[in-house]
Amino acid sequence: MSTPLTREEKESLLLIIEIIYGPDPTLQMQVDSFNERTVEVVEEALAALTQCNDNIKALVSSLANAGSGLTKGWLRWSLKGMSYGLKNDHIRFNEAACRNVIALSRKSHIQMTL
Amino acid sequence: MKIFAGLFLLTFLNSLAFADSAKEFSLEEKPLSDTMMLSNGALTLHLPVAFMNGARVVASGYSVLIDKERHFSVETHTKASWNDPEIAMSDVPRMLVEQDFSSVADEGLRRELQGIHKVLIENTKPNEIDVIHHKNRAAYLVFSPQDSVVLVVDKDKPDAFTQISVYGLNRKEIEDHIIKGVMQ
Repeated sequence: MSTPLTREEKESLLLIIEIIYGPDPTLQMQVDSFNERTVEVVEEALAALTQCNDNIKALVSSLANAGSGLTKGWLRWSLKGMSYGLKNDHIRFNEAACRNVIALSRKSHIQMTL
Repeated sequence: MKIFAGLFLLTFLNSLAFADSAKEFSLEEKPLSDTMMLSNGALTLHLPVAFMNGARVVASGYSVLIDKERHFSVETHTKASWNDPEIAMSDVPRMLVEQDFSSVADEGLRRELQGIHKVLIENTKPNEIDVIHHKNRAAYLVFSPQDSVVLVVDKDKPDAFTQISVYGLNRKEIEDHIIKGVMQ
């Protein structure tokens, strides 16, 4: 059984969610409710996005390298101490088609965890 | 000193005026029954289903969370939201279900569409794919027991299509509630 998310991990998770979805006031207001299941669902969304989005693929590779590789649960380990890097990378995605369609297909899954 | 006294008097009179116009009352502690909830993350508004009958809730993208096992999200994709690609947006659903990207000149976009096809269609196999036509609209349904998607196009809106990503609804629920709903 994993431990509850720390405040720092929740903030890091919000950064990743906003890279995928853009700024989302609805999710920003629910940061306190982020939990282990939210991390799992965001990890699934990232995995789906890597199938058509090269920038996400690069992001996931760098995050996974900082964590424990692409084994299940890698994102939880990568959340620790990654927010600074994310904030300073100014990651932007040009592949809007892939991001918008795949991200939407996982959105209600994320909301169901809150 | 006189100025402070004057200010105090003014504030006091203001508060009296406010107390006179704003009435306080308590709500009955009776729980509402048969409600639907509208939420923006910070506040959830409970509204009686009968009161909402026929009402329109206007939003550019939204999710409907029915229960733990059933939920869906709706969003319309436009040329602008896809960074102005040189394709007819209303042809995207057909391209995806037929896996026909021959009309897409942009190599990067073609790769993206192939990726979308893989995630929405290949990865959800075994699935059932159907196209339902009604008046000016067509709904492309990719049904699988867990993750389904409905892509809706309108002949009058060539620069857009709408994606409804559905989780946990059975085929009858999707046909009776979602597809009939968008074809109205």
